[in-house]
Amino acid sequence: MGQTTISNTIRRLRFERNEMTQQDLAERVGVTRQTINAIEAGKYSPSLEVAFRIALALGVRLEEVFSYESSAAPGREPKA
Amino acid sequence: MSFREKSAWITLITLVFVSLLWSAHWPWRRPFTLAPDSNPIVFHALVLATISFIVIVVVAHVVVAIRAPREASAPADERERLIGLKATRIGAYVYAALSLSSIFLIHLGANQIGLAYFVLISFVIAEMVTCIARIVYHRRGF
Repeated sequence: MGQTTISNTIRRLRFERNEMTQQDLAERVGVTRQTINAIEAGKYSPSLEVAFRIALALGVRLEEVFSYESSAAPGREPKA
Repeated sequence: MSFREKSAWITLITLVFVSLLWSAHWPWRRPFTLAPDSNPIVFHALVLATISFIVIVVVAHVVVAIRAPREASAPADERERLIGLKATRIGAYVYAALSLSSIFLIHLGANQIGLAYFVLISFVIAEMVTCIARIVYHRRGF
């Protein structure tokens, strides 16, 4: 199984929304500021529910916040 | 630093501190073949270390909670719960491995009291490993 990464645009989206702080976003999502920081830094991949709540708090669609990349060969689906 | 990471640091530092205090009374020449007459000293030191641990941990947590009451009263989110589970699993492996290794101490001449203390020490070491794992997961992510 290839190594996968989930990248995100949370930092950019926060600054586009009147420089929303990590604490503000954390309170809207219902997690700690440290968890938002870890997600932004790519140190933690959130659950689907938290990912949706982040997108909702930022007022965008999920795919505008998170994108999935795989190191598997192009055209090959990673094994389940 | 989150409240739960601070909590892990407090627990780890306190455990190391009281363990060092207790180790000052440990019979290092015959570590797990405690004679009945040396047992009260070790046991009294253990009681003192346990009480000290509880007092220090509670006071330190109260101080941290007073400085950041919102963080302290907030429930753990999914990442913190996951960190807790992963760290506890690592600690459980350490505890199981050390406890099972007590069988070898029997062949080295350990008596019942010595074995009981070894299992207790195994628990303390496992708890230290759990705290270290929590800190590492908080710092490095996973």
